Amino acid sequence: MQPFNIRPDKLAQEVSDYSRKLGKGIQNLMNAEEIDAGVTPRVEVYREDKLVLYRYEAPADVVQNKTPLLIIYALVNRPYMADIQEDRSTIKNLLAQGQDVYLIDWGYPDESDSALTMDDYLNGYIDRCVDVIRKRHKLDKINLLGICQGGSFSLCYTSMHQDKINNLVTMVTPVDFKTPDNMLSAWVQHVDVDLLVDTMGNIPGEMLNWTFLSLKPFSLTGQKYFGMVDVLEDENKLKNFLRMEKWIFDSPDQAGETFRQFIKDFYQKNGFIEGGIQIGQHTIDLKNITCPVLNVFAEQDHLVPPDASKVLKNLTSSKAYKELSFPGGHIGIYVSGRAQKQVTPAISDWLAENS
Amino acid sequence: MTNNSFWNEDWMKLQQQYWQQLNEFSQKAMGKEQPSWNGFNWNDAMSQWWQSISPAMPDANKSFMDKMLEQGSVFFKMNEQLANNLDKSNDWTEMLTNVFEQLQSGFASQAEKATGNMEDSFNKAMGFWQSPMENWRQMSSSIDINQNFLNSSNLFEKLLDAPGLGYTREDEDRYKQLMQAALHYQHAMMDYNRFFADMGTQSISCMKDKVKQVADKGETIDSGRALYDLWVSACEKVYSEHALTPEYAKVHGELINAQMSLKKQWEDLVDQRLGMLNMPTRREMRTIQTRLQESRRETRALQSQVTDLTEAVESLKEQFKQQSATASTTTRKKTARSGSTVKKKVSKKTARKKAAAKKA
Repeated sequence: MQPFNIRPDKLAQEVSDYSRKLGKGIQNLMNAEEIDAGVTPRVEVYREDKLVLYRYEAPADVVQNKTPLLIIYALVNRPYMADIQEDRSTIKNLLAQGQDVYLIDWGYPDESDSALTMDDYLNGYIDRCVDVIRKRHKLDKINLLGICQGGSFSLCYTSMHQDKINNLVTMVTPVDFKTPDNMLSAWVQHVDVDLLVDTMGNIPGEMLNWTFLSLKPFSLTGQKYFGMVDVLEDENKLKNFLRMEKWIFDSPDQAGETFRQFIKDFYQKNGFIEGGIQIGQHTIDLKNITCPVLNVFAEQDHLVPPDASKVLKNLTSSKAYKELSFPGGHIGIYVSGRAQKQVTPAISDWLAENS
Repeated sequence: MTNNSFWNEDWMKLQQQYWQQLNEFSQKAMGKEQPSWNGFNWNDAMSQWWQSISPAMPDANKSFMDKMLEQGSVFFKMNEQLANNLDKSNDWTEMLTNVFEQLQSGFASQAEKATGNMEDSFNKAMGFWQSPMENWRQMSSSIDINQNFLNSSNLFEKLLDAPGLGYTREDEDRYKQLMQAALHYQHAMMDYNRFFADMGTQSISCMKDKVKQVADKGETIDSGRALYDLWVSACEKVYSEHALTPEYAKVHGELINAQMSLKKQWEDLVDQRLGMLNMPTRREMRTIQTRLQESRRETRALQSQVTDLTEAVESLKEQFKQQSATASTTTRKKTARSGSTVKKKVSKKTARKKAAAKKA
């Protein structure tokens, strides 16, 4: 059977349409101003070096969970992904469902931060933020939600400081770093991380961008822009696209020493599975985690494949381990319409059940 | 945008009308109702339009628009090839091969023109597959690997021109190491290029499979856009299969390692020169940063201990205060109790005395 139903004049019409849409949409693009990032009002409650701990303002008419929730985002990219726009905000939804939300913004590390280790981040920054929140609320324990690399950090933190954590939520979190479908992991196995960090000091965000775009080079650097011509005429859709574009390329540099340990111990040695992760005075053992755990992963995640997260099930000592599988990707789990309806309500319900 | 600006709304409308009129012109020129390929170069028209409009575009959005036009160009060329081949063969697989081979060869000659690099024989096979390579080039330039040094044909002359500071022998050795690192990087880059070289061919084969799957389902491809999307998915499929192999992991790792070795040699050379001039070096800065961070950790630990001790002292003070308060209350009660007993005893004695006196 002839699979093509295309005529030359129809093709020319398509090209003509493309050109016309470009011409019409160009004004919106020229008028597009600075893109705002993060939409929910928040107040600063603690600051240390470049880190800022924020507390988000809850709607007045919502009864709040007495145990606050601290979100730990990855060091890669910026945390406003969780609050990217009014109708696509994980944080806003958590607030609306009664969670008292705090978030650590890591800021933009520079060369003066290159000697920061994972010990400094986990037993320093995170631990002090947890203590600040515990003190403010006069509580022994708080709830923790870790996102992506922040999820790995949360697992390490909880295994070291289980006495301070009531419930742990991990979202799109890598645990087994060597699943066969993990492209990122395959690529770093032959990289001389010591040479990389010794040479660069901090790892430039540009380098991380290149790595992430290389996962799907044709879709992420070509097709995506081609498809944009369809939304150029819609001011709101264009703004949302530009906002996401800003987030993708808004990549902070990575503190060199932390990057060194994270790649070596987690990606190359697969430390959660094989053991041997040492952070400060602590040896990381996920069996130390006894609190309830909710593990949320995305079925079409090309950065953290589902199997990389699901393995957590048998690694902790939690008697209340639960999984939530989301039919979407690594970013869609925060920004898609479906995620707003499925993911955040499920997290809030689970936290309420375990409070 | 205000009407006072040169780039006012009237101008914008003119830009929008440009495409409309261009479309109509192309149709009239060909004497057809619909737009046509014959005798009209859409790519050139788009390029000219963009050249006229791009100076007014904010920088942040210019690169975004560049990417859109770049992909528009891919799309235009693909459609052009498709339109030219549609009626030439009854065998769709042959037609598809022609379309994508011509497309790839078009990209290759364009890349050669753009870079002026006739030695880059890989271009011929790569075509659309320039995309991953372009990403690497952009990232490399952002971390300041000196491309001029790599492309220099008179590298040995540069070595001879080494400034005469310090011991010449040491200098020569450093430059030799730098040279070796540069060559190693070039080899790694070639290996990386080579890995992509046959993927272009494989992607055409994958594309045929995908089109066949469409045909087998009894469906048809109805637009250039659908074909473009299928082409992207074919390229992604071939890429992801190769990018997950141990061979690619090795080539990829080698490329980064070679780049870092080269950069490290540069840094060491610069450090050495700075040291000679009594200027602070990167190595010294690193040492200071590490020591500073160690000091901060110690200070934090001490602060934490002081806080703990202060809280412990405060707690002890509080306990002591409470114990003192309890002790003084007890004493007062005892005193009060003993006082009333004395009074009672006194009052009993007094009563007995009074009674005896009465009897007397």
